[in-house]
Amino acid sequence: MKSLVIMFAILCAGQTQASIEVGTYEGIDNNRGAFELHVRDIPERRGSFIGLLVNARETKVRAYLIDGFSASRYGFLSMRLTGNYNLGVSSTVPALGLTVSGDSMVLTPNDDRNDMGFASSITFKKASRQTVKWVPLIAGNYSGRDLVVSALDAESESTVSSKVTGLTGDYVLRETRNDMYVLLNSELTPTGVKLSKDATRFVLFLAGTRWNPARMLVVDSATGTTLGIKNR
Amino acid sequence: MKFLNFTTLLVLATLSGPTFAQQRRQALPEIPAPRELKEVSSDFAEGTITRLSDQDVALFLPWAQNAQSVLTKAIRDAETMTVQNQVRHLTNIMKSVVRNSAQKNYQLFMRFALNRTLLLVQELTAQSDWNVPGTVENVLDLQVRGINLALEFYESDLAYQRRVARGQSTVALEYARFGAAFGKAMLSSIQNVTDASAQYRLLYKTLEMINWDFSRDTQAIDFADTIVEIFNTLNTLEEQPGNDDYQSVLAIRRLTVLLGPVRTVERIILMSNEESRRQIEEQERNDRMRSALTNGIGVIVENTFFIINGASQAELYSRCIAQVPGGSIDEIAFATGGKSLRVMTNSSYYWNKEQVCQNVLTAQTFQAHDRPLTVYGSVEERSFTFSGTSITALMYQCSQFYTTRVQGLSIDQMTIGVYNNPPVPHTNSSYYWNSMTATCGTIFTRALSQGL
Repeated sequence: MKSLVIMFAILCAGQTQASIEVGTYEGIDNNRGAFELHVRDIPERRGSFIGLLVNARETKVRAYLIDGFSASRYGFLSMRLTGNYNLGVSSTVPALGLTVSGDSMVLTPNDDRNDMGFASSITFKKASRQTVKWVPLIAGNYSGRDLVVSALDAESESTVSSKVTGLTGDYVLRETRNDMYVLLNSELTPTGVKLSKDATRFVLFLAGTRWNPARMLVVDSATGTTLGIKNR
Repeated sequence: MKFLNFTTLLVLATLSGPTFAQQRRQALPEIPAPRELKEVSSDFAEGTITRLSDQDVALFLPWAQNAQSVLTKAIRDAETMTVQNQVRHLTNIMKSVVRNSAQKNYQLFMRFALNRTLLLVQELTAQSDWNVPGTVENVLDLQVRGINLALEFYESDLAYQRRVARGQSTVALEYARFGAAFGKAMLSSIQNVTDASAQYRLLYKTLEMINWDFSRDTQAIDFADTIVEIFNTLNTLEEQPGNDDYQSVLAIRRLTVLLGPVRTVERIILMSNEESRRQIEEQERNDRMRSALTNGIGVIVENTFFIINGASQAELYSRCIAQVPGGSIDEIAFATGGKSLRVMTNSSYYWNKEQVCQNVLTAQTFQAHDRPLTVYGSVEERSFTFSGTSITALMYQCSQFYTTRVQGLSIDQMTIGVYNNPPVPHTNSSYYWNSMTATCGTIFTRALSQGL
């Protein structure tokens, strides 16, 4: 009996878990394009995650709320800027579905209206999982000294002063999801500083490696098109 | 007829129309009022008085007018505050406006909107952690939507009270119209909430409130299916979320399924009003046009522009055939995807309709382009700017420009620029670009070679 229990325990330990876990995964689509999927947990929604799907050149980023539909199947609900500083779910129909089986996870389009720009299926090897590269705000200089990001203040806001093409001027970054920041235009008015409530872009930070510095990704919420700025 | 208390209504035959269908008429259960809105001792009690005396109206009008100006100013003043302070400021203002009307106990949609929003805000803050990024923004979003809804119903409240004051005894409160508008505003805001317990509780309460509104409307029988469906779903679920987030997420999905029927009710109500029906039909026409411009194939055949849209090659082909004009065709230009164009000329013979459509449907890929495409310039000194997310959208604008501004001219001079780049002059020293196909085809072919 004892040996049976031990064998069962060994069998269970050997099985690959059929659920998604926090981390960064590498994947390839049908056209052999490379993607990274960064998965973070949501403490106030245990069992669900926030995912970022990023293409190899980091020119396109999509954010999703990932809800479990069954033990091995997840729905990816598109997240967009929805007004009043909110980065929320734009449709209750999942844009993508993820099936976890064995040592791989396959992401496929689910909604006919999917305009995510990731039309084909993408396979991620579970073995590619590494520490999540999507990190909290990194204050400092970017693109030489063309862009400066301050540390977050008590209001969870940071100021950005930029001369970078495509992002010129003074902005405020406001953390509206863990490590996701809405980029707000700040306008001086007779009564004070007015932050635009209808932001169109949000910002994410990816950790650097030995060969590649940390990056600030400025993502157009509607199209996913991204402006990447290096921390150096 | 009091719709709150009726237990059965006649089962009638299904009514249907070409644009929307009234729902099956069926027996309606008694829909209870949400506890928080009914109990007199509750901070959120909505009151029961639906008719005002002359004296009451004299008191009501200043309150409503004052509330409108206070709310409008509150939104404006909040603009330069920190987000936390915006939330505090709007909470205080909303509470003060509701409190000022409370003793009057009149049923006013303006007050309903504020009162119910305060209830949802209370539920959200009770269920979720204020320090989690996003919670403050969720609250602010609910508040702004609630205030905007209150302002939207200001006029209809005034009109209603005036009619009541004039002694029109047949005036009925449009509960379902309010309920649908409240649902539309709040349910899309609740989608932003990631806290599972809070999202569940907000969905439950909102659906409970709007179902009560639907059930006591004079038109209730027209959306009986939805009322019963919401009622049955809520009856099988707990009012409060459990401790298991995964189970809450499963329940959230059961509740979000109801958003479809709620939208149907909204449509039924809007379509029953002549003015809103016209607006909806206009909006739908515009949406179809926008979709066609983004996803359809723009085609120019000689001097005719048309768009073809369809779910299959066969459908596209039949629609193409139907739109190709008669006559001798030896020039066609058509979009071949988000950002590509093909111009074809036949110097040997004329194409028939079938050949035109076979050419157009060869190797099509439909997708919108990411960023707006912009082409500007002039044709025989008449300037143009075309901008859109597909060549089809630009072709449509070019067809309008050609027909209204340059058709009939001998065209051999153009300037063409893309985005912010300087324009490039183009001259045709051999012949004239004397058709829409030749003019627009040339503009886009050259724009593409200039980096469009």
